[in-house]
Amino acid sequence: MTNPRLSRRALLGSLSAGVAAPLILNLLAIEDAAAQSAGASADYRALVCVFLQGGNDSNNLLLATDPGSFAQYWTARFAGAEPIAIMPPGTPPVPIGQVSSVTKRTVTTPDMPEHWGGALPIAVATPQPVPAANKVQGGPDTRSFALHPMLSGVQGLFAAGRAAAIANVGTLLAPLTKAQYLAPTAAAPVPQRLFSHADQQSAWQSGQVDGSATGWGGLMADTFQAANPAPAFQAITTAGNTAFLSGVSTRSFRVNYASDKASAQTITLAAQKGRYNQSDSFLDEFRLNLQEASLGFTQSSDMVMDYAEGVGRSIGGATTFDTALGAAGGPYTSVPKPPAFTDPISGKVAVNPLAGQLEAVVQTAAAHAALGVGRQVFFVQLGGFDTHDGENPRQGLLMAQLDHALAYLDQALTAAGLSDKLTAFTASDFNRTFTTNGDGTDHAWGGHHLIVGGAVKGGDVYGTYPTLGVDKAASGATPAFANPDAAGAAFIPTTSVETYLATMATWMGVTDAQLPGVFPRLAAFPVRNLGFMRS
Amino acid sequence: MTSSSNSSAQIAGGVAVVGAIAAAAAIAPKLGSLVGGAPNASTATAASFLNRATFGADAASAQSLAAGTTDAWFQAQKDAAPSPGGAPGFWASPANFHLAWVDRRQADFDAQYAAAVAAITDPNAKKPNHRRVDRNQFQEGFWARAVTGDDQLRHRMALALSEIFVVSFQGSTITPRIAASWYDMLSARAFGSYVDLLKAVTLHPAMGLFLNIIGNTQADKDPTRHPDENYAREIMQLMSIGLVQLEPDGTPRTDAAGAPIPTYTHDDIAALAKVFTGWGWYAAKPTNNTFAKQPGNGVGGAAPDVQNLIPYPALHSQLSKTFLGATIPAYTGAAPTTPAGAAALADYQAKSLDTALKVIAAHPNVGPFIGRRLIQRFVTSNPSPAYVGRVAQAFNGDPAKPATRGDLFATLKAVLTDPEAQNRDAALASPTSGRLREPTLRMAHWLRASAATSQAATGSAVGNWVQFADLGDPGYLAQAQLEAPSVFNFWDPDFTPTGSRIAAAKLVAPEFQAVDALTVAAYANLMAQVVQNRGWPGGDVKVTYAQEIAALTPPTATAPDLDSALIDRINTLYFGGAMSPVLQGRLTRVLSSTKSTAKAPTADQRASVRLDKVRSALILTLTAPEYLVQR
Repeated sequence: MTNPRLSRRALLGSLSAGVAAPLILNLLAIEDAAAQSAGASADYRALVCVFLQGGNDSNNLLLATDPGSFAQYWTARFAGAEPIAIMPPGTPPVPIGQVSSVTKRTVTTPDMPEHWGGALPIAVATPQPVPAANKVQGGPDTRSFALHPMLSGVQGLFAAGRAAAIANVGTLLAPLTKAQYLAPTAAAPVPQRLFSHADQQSAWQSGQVDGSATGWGGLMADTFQAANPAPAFQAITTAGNTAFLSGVSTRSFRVNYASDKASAQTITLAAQKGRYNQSDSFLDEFRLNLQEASLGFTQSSDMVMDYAEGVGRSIGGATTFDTALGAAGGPYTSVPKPPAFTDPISGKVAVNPLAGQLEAVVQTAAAHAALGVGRQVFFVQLGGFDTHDGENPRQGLLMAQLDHALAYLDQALTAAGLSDKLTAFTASDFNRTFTTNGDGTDHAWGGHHLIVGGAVKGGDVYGTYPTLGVDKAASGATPAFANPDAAGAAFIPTTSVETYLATMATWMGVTDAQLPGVFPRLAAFPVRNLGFMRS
Repeated sequence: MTSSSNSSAQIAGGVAVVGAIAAAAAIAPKLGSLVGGAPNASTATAASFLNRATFGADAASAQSLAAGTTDAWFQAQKDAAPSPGGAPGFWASPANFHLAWVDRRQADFDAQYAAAVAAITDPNAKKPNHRRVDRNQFQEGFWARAVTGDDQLRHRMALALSEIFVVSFQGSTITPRIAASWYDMLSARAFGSYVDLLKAVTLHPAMGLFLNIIGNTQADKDPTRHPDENYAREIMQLMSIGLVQLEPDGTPRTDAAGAPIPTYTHDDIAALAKVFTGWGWYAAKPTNNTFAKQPGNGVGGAAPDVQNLIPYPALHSQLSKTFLGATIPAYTGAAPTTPAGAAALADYQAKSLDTALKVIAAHPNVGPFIGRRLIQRFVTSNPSPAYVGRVAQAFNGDPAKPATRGDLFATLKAVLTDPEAQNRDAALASPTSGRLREPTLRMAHWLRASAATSQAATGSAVGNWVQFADLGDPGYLAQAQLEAPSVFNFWDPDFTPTGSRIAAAKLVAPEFQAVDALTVAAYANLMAQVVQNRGWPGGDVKVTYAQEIAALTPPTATAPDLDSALIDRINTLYFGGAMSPVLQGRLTRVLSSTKSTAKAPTADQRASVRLDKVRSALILTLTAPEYLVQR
């Protein structure tokens, strides 16, 4: 069977066309099981990809704050017209109109990092040694870490053991050293189209450059078909089409999050019955017309059929979804609303679109039994991370939105009794340059990410945080500096996106035997599981 | 833009196959093509052409083209103003239409405010609201021109260019005036030379803001900093040459191992980024403070907020720059601290930009790269390599005459008149032909074919085209001009929908990137609503269906409605004569089932039945998958 998504009618039609009958009957049985909407699986699990669209400058998300590392950070970032350096941990916030004792600058606007106070320290369970090039004489042997000053909620989740970070993850085809990056070989290839938004978004979501037909979340979901009587709802997006949620047979279903309750979009006239426009047949004809191609009247056009099937899925899914979510007093009502969000730059109460999306996610997860799914993969997105300029006000707001949304997610999951059943992780196009372009940063490579949920072995930084600093030739009394982990201002990833995601796929129940089908390049990397998930 | 009921009847007569639907079902009609110099194509064939080349066929334009020739049509379109014939002021100028529109609307708001203030008698009364133009007023101008403008080809090309050279209100501080000025620039350059367009794009403040050219400062002596690479990367990746080397027919060139060969490396980007340093806001007396400080809104085309960026020589890189195999040598003139030095460096900066843009525009990828994108915007998502090759050839011009390279009018004409665009019998026989119509084009088509007007129009003015909502919201059209989510436009030229037939055929369908469970439903709801209500919510943009009702109305009061004439008209204008027998049958059934419940309907009751027939037929048409895919 090449197309498992053929409609029921097309399947019945093809019985006479010589397609193997038992397989078709089997597929019909699956559809019938979906219609019955079997009860919840007791071991429900869900994974949420929080995509930070545009390339988050994660150099300011997770900072190494031991003296040698921070000195390199400060040199690179306290520079240019609008320095983008976060203040060292412990620095008190400087009110507007006063002078910072750290930078000697007068704070004039709320988007100056001096105004935010220092980076927020986190304790880690597993010490990371300070790399040789960042060691200072008499300095500590292990690294200390801190978060962006807007991430106080995440700092709390670290302390509570429900958040972890992973350092220097990025797109890789195989493990790669700096020497190999500079002189690539067939055995140690460099990924294609680094630094390009569309391609690296796709590579993060699918392992392929732009145009990939499948992505990791969708392929993962393909393996859950057996656990999901209603696979239409095993991949849910609040943000339109993404490579991440596309499987061989899995397609994403988009839901609205604008109102208080997650909802599907119903086609009003298709749900209406009776007479319309003085015709008894219009409404029936309207319903058929929308999805005619999917009902077997081939139009000899692939796009016509593809569109019609999309409408068919929308109509079919909307009814089921709204019914499942809509039951009065149903499980979704156990999910609290996000608290008010205040924009730290403007000081005004504002809408946090990420919190709204996560509210819809938790509501949908809470209704999983009625939706007929035991495993779900979600995709949510926050845009605006392409901070080539104006990085301070823009990333400051985005970090505050991320923090507010993740802290809310933790609360909502607890309230819904889903804390250890749903895990959220961040992903992004790429990290940005370690150096500034004056008031912003450009496209780079390996970066740092967050994992949040009750099933996370939190309070730790996984992966290896890179050596900080940019290569420099010796000049006068200043010795040369060579960073073994960076090419120019970009870090060469030491953990592949595959390994990061495979660790969570295993938690989701993808078996060792199934993993290569989802992550074909996983075998190229020495580690399959980074150990940040409880089993 | 007027048309009599008589012309509707002519249209109905212009189509061979309708009415006797069942009999015709088995035979595909011969649809014919428009041949450059030959007049008298069918109205349906003319409409099909106009549905690709314009914002949609209406009865008058289809009949006019059917009676003339495409060569004459192209020439007339090249010379057309947005709306000639007594239209006031800016309506005569394609280069100043949108900015004048936005300024006019601000003047309206100013006058409303002044009147409200003047009407206040109580000194303690609250001050009235003084409305400022926002992006909706830019959108108004777009729709006014799309629906009623005479320079359809130019405006349609501007839309296509706005999806290749993308700037967006999203994630930027572009004002309605800057957006309007940007669209005017695209209009004015739409039929000009590619390299001139590239320069105008580079120096327009909209691009300066969107891809951070403004504020980009040299870092010649600062090893901790580097110039901003945003524009340098995207001008090559998205606006000119793309990521991989192309054959003249647009197929990727491959190395010995069969892998595509990249067009450039990061070193090329870093070098080109230096060319784009030191360009800042226009100021009468430029200083370091005016460089990146956005001027307030002015009025008219000469105000600083809509002027081209200017050189700030001290902030421009003086280093040597090597990219795409070319080198711009380092600046070696006098120090810019002297007036002579500053002038020499400004000259170096301006010439460096010209050189860089010429190097990009001369790259052999540009013809096939831009050619394929234009074909996708106008005709089909998956052109054959031969088609791309022919369009690239038109772009390349005569190699012996370099000035002929990059003629956008010739390129566009090649896109629209290519045999692959014109041979509709072949297109309809192929399961992989065509493109999903952009939501904007579906809405514009309905408004044009239904002769929509703005209620605020008086005399020869065209009204306000008041926007009822943000059409770019996924709950409405999921597309509004200059509202793309990023520089990658609303859709990626290589997007392919998951698990689709198009994917199985290893083909692409860019516009499907905006198709999902939410947007297909929102679109159907929106069109069902506006068709039913005879206009956009808010009441300004309205249709009467006068032509459609005239087509239905029988010659004598007691005769039955001419249902097949309405179907003929829809088949002609919306489908270019290629409506499927299935849909023809559906419309026939629905129209014949539409009746008054009265035993002896009055004239009013019969008129109300006719109105409902038009509504039902258009709702079914505009939501039919076979309409949504243009072939």
